[in-house]
Amino acid sequence: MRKKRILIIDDEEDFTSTLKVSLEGTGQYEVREENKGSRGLLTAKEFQPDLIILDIIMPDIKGGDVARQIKEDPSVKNIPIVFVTAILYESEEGIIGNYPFIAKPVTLEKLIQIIEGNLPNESN
Amino acid sequence: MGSAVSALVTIPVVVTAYILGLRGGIIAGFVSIPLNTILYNITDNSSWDVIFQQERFPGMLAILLLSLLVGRMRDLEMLSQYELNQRRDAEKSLKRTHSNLQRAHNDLIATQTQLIQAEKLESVGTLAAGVAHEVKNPLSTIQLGLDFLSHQFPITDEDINKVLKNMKNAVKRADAIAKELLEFSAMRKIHMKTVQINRVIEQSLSLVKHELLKNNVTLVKELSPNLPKTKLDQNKISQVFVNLFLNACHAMPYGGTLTVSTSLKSINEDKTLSRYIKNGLFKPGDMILYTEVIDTGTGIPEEIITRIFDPFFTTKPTGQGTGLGLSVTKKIIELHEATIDITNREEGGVRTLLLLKPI
Repeated sequence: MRKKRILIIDDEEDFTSTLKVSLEGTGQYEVREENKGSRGLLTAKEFQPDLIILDIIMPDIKGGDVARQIKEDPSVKNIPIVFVTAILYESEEGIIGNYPFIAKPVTLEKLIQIIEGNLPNESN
Repeated sequence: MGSAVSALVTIPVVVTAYILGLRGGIIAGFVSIPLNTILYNITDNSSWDVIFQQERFPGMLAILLLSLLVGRMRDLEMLSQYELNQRRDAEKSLKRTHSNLQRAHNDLIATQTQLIQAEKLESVGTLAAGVAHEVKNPLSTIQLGLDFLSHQFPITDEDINKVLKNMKNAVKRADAIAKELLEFSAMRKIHMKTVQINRVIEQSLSLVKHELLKNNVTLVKELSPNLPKTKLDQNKISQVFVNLFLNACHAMPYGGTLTVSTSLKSINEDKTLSRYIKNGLFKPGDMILYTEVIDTGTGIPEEIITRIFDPFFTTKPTGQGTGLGLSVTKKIIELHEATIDITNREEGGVRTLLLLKPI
């Protein structure tokens, strides 16, 4: 079975690399990290992930703008996006404007559950 | 007969001088001269031709001088009495002015304290969002790393498991602090709803039920039925009550009584409430939802009672309190244009008064 491709766009390098190792450690995923929000669209087009994990507060461009760019590009617009951010806390998690929002810190178990719940059917 | 005449004249002259002062003394003294002569003449059967006899002069002069002396002394006495009254009035007015100034000074200090408090809250609010964000990011890395390590190897060593568990708990605790900081910075956003205050209290009490039980705290509810509804952010006011109830529980580690009461009162009903009119929060005649939370705990040391609403002020040991609980509480209450007061009770324990506006 093909490994599911996950793209993490987040400026926190420690977080992205730990998440990459953790997800890949399950043997289920192939993960690409992108630490520059402004390169998010480009990496998404190139990597063609099954799901994107996106941060909100990044120094060069906000996660909301990256999501808009992705949704405007026909080659990646159908890729589901999950926001994982430190500006929310657990009680505020949920679906906001069609996007699931997860608060940091998040457990690996919970994150995998959310990834699986949001992956498109054909990749499941 | 001469001495009797002298006495007859001297007494009224002296009395007149004493009553009327120097001016009265002069008039009486001079009037006494012909009067004296007339009386002498009557008593001595002297010839009316001889009005002034030389031997009577010293007596008459003595009466005149005496009347002047008594008059002058009376004047001096009246003057000193007047001065004394003046001084008393001046003292009274000085005392009044002093107490007015004292009051104005106290008001000024209170206003200044409030301003400093507001400023502190404002800057802390801005800071809090940034700090929370910066703390939560590394926490996510630690959390994920711990999860990864826990799942990576079959860990049979009890000590390693214990350490991993402790680290996960530490992440949770740090996250709770960051959460409170975020909560604090998001204070400006409130969502008002028309609700019944008793329902919010009941809801908050159900959240601390376990804590009350654990601390062996007896709950006394005196919630007045049929209270008018009020507009408030239910979640935030519930947070306020939970904070107050938890603080009360922590102040009664060996058990005690927590009394929660609500009632509808007129601001004019209770003299102690009139100061909230001065604060501009309520108008005379306003009805208020009067909520009291009373505990029988250890109370708050007087030296710190003015600082309890300060952000980051806590008496709990390091790591057990953020020191934001009561400052968040105060901020929420202010956003509701309500008021909160926390005081020590004479009988012991703490009394928290919460005044809200009904609709």
